[in-house]
Amino acid sequence: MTWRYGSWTVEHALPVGAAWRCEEGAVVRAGDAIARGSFVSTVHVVEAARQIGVAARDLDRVLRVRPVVDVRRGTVLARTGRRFARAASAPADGRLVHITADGDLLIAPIIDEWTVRSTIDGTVVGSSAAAVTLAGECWALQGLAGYGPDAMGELALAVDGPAEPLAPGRIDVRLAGRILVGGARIAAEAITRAHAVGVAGLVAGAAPAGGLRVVYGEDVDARGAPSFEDRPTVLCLIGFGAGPLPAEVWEPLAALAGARASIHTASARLFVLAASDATSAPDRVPLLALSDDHASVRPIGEDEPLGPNVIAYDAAR
Amino acid sequence: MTTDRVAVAIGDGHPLRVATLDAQAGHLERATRRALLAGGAEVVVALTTGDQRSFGERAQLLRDARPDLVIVPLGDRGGADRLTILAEPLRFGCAAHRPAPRVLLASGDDGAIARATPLLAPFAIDLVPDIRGDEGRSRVAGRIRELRGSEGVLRDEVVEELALRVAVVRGAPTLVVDVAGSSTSLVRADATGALMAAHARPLGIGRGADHVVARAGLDRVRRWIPWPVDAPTLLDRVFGRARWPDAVAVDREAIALEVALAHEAVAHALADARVAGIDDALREAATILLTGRLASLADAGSTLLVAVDAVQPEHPAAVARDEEGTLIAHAADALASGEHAALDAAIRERLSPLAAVVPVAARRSVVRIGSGANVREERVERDAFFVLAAQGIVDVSGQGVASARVAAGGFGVLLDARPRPLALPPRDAERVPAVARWYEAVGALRSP
Repeated sequence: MTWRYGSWTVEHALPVGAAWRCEEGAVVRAGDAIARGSFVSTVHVVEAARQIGVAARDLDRVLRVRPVVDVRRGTVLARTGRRFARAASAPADGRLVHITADGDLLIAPIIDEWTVRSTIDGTVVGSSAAAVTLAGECWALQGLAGYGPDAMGELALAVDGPAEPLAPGRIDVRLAGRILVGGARIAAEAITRAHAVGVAGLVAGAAPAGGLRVVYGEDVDARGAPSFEDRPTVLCLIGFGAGPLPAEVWEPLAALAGARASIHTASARLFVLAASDATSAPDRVPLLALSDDHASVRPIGEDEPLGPNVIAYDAAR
Repeated sequence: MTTDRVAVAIGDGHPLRVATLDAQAGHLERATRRALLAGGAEVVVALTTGDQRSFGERAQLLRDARPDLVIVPLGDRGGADRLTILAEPLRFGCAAHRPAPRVLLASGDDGAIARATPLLAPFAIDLVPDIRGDEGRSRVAGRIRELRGSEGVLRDEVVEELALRVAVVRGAPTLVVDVAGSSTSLVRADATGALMAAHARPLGIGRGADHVVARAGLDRVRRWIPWPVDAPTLLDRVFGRARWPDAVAVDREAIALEVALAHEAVAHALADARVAGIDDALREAATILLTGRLASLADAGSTLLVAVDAVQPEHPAAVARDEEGTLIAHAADALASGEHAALDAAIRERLSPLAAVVPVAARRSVVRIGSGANVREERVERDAFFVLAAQGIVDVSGQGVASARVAAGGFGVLLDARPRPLALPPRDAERVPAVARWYEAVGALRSP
């Protein structure tokens, strides 16, 4: 599909170590926190079952605290007996995150917290330690590959036309917090500058693969790289190298400028939280052609003859 | 006369993401790798007890990887005790996944099984015999294929069927090298029916192109292109290729990229086979048959060059290709029906070699080529790489050459005295002329 207004289900994967998450049925707006937790690295191991002399399967009976909860040094984690009590206590401040099969309690120091935010206005339809899933109605555009964390902000055009590359010179602090639409290409310089001035995210027809490697690391591939780290957010809509946007994609983008929007990098989708009549969905699915040397993609005009390597925008890729 | 018909759909199956927890890495590693290669698994995470990552990092790695299947090979109770440091990150990272991954516990030791089973709760566990035995390996590979499933037949099985029948029909060991969009298979069979397979996934020259680059590095792919190419442009081509279904290479640059990717895909499939301890055995074949997209490259010279450079046969071998996919189609049909007659007939009629490849290991040698009174002597120096016109079955011998009788094809006999392992100069100024000379020798990339 290109643009479509409708009902969307969005799964937000969570990092390990979630301490709080929205319950099913909760109503959220894009940008609201739907889960919080702390990054887990090394952990303190408390051999609770062994220390208090119970079998691992019986530990639950004598636990005083359960994951996930913050504990202070010396907090009693488990205790058994009355007159001759045996107890296991926390060796350091941290968060009890996991109980092992052998009855050990793992306490992670709280060094760095994370927050996962909703990318659409909607209702929580699934909530587990691994993911929070939301359902809601909005405009959406399917892209090809998303890189970086999810992003939320006001949609803003940063180029004058769909074939124009995003020039770093057009990015300044006034665009902080926006999701910029960058035409045919966003080079590494534009990506890093946008991140430096606080731009929320970038959407364009394509980004050079070499530039993505510079920004996201050598192991980045053509399937995207969703992450939770503080990095730029980039959504490539049709390809890599250069990719002028088809009119069917560009015109609704231009019409929706100024609306609240978000980039969900795992599904490579741009959501625009505007009314259903804010624009109209294109009546034709545009065709795309891979250049003969495979280094760029371009839209095919309606009357243009079809060569090799032509597919519809919505083809499974 | 056989007919060209494609009756059975050939597929790669569902993508199956596999993680391995190797608590006894050194002990069981080869057997595990061999089973994974035989099953055509895509290994997304391989954790060992020697891994330096913290508990949380391991758990995050497993959560991000979202494995469908976790393979846990164990030799004894000691291994099961060490499994704790790998199993707990799995429980912490993946227990909440829906669907949760299945665990394949491969062990013949009751103590190990008893210890490992609670460690791997709450995942569903399938138990198979010790992976070091044939049955254990076969069960692991079989389970992987079962989970991959496919409408029609799996490409891996088709390639194996083809290798087996070629070996039986020709009465000699055969290596089939199949490079497709997102898989690279090396299957060796002999006339007795013995089979050895390495299906490396997702290495390929289509959807798997970016995986080849991630695995090999861009420079290693770039080095096979016989002219200077700047790295960023090449990377755009690789990414474009990876996200374009069934892209057809019509431009010289795109064809060169396919040839370069095929070189590295085969080389890394062989590297995987080396870890599994089967690379030498795989390469010992009298016939090398190339199939898939590798066989459909625009010119036969390119296909031949990939076979010689990537497989680097140590003994004389006949190289052939299944240019239009006819043999693969017949093999799929035979696999589905259990009837081999049409496939055997197609092998007899259509399998004609491109060239006889004769590796020369000596610094200087005089290679004798021909039979009876019609013997030609060719002086060969180190680094030589050239084709001699010849036809039919020829005997080859000489210093540094394993005496053999091989079939010369349309190209004739390719004498290859380049040192093994093949090393390319790092600098473009030296590398490009050398590689261009090899392409020129076999007429590769002459016409798009």
